[in-house]
Amino acid sequence: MKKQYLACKICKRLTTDQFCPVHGDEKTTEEWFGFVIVNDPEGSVIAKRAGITEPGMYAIKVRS
Amino acid sequence: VIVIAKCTIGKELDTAVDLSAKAETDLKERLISNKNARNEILSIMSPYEIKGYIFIETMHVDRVEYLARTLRNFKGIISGTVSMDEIEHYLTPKPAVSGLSLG
Ligand SMILES: [Zn+2]
Repeated sequence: MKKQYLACKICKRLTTDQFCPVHGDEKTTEEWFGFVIVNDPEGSVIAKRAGITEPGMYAIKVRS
Repeated sequence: VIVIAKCTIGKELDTAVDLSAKAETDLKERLISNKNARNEILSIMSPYEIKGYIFIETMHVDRVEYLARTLRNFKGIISGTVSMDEIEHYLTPKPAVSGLSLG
């Protein structure tokens, strides 16, 4: 069974939930493009350039 | 370093999620004997403009190849590295209507 990932319009976190795990009231959207998975935010140059400080999955672009 | 890995087109997300999970499991195992162990995968990036390839940021390319060996959609790492400057523009996509808002 394939998981459908949805993105938060505020923090761009990807989740399988209808609402963002951080921004509880924010409904997530399927309209997102590209992603970054960060395992080690302290060591990652990509995470730094993307402004990501916590491990997780993020969309690069979310349609607002 | 940042390297490019080839994967099945349309399976970029599945491949990255599986590879990230493999690295997390590997880290947990190594932390038992070495409390300073770090994740072999720092990050994985997949711009939507690029199909069939993902960018992997790591300190040990050979370890990534090892972790990915059982992933069905992973087709190997391309030799050579890319710099952050070369891929940074994918993180800041231009608005689709850029230049059309005059007047
Ligand atoms: Zn959020």
